[in-house]
Amino acid sequence: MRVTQNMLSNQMLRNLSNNYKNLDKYMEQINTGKKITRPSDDPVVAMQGMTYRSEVGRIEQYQRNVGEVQNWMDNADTALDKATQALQRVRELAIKANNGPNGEDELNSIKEEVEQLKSHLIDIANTNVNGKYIFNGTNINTPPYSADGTSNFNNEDVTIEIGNGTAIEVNVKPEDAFEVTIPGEDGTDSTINVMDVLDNFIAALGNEDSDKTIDDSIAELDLSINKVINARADLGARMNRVDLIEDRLSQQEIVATKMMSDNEDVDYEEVITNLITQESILRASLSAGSRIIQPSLLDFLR
Amino acid sequence: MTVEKANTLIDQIHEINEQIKRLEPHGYLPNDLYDRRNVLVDELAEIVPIQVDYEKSSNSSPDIAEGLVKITLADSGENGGTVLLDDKNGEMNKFKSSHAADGAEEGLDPTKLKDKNGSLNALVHAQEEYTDMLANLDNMAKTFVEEFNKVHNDGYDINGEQEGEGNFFTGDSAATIKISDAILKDPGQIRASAGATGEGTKLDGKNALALASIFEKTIEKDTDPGSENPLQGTSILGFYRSLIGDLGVQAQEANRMTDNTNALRAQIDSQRESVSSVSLDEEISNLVKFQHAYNAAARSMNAIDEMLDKIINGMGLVGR
Repeated sequence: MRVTQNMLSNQMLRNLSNNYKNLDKYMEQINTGKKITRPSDDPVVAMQGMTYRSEVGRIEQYQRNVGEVQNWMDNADTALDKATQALQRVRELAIKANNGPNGEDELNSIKEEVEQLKSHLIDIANTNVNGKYIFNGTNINTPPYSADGTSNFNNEDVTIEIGNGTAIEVNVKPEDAFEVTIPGEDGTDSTINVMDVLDNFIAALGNEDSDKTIDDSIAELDLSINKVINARADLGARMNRVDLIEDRLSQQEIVATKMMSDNEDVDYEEVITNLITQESILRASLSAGSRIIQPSLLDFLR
Repeated sequence: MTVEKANTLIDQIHEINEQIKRLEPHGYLPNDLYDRRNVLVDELAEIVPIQVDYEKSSNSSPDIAEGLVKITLADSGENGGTVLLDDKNGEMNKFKSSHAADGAEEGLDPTKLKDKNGSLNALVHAQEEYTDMLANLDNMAKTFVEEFNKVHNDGYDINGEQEGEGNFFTGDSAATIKISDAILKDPGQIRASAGATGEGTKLDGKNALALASIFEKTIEKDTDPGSENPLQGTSILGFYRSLIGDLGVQAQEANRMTDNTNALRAQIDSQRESVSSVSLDEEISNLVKFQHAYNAAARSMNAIDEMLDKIINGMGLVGR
């Protein structure tokens, strides 16, 4: 085949531009840290990347949700702990009032303290976290007790999704913590509010004619304390589960992030090696070109 | 743009044809014009597939004259075989610009080209792909708006009511999709809860969970045979994913075809160059050869000169 200068220079230009194209590709990979910058670079990687990314995004959101769940549960746990302590104190006072002769003054001071404890319990039940009343079901804008102790309970589950299809109840329902079932004398049970239990006790303290005695109140207080402790145990079980889920989520996050990274991130050693190889190829072709394109027969004739 | 360029090229070739027609019958061979015409024909061939024939310009033209060029559209589509330029019979057809309204301008319709050759055709086909892609995106946005609003409408707002219009998104295409003004003005109208009854349930946020799952929910098959929503039987996420996948595959194929075609073109180009292009070495060695021949000829003239000198001036001195 007859080879002319034009063909040589065209061929060289074409190869040089291919070299620059490869160089550009590797530069882009190093600069962005990603194997591809547009779907056409590798459609399979692009599509899988979309899946992996949404998976990672979802897991990260579940982790944020777990944070919110723990917020609810930790606050409820501390609140119930304080409620137990307050009820225990009331029970101590009840036993003190029941034992031995107590003067009018002593009974009055016990009554005062119980009234204060009642307000304290209302405060606890009205615990407000980040503007939400956590002991009133889904009705988070209204406190379960108004100031005078009348109740307005909502017993719906507050659920937060912390896994694919896994929604967990995060709240302690007021009926589980602040309502006591009292076995009646005639065999029928009646459900009364913890504040009513305290009111009954206060009434029994101040009034000999009250239909309930201090003994009755001690029994009711025991039931109330048990109720709160049970609610706390149930909450504790759920908290353990949340801890397990949190653990699992962080494992999942590692796996998902790794899959995403394996799919779309560049292997720097490989790309840098490629880049350097490409660079020397470019240098070689430039220097070969400069030797071959320049001289013609003219340079050798005298 | 490309159409205008093609039309201008046809015009220019026509003008050169006219000049050639005036010169050739007088026995001239206008080689410059032939060259210029060849360049223009090459350019036109890049835009549309053409077939080139040569016709004698007149009976008195020299036998080796190239004659007039006749250009025919080489396409298997509707307009295939149409004569673009035939100066012997005074025939000329141009392409219709896509900017002009239908029927406003006479000419061949570029969208009717069928074979996949030439840059004009590439543009026409690319436009079809764009339109498909845009239509798909519009469909996706429209379906998303419909599905989202359907679920949103079933919910209850922060007051436990179903007041107002109840549409979260407005618009029916990818360009017009936006959150409705009513909700932007009063975010309390977002219908996030599932139940109206009871004071507490209005804050339960259950409808928000349903809204969150729309993106990955499979769109039900429409029983109405008239509607042909391509998203039926797949989820919005799935549809979008396959859309991007298709786009990637198409672009990849296009890039690969470009590479292949370029390699092919380079091959043919180099074959053509190997015949037609100028080799400096060849020219120089020819130059040297002819220089030597010239020198040799001069030398032989010298020899003859000397011989004549001998004969005329050196011989026959006897009679002096």
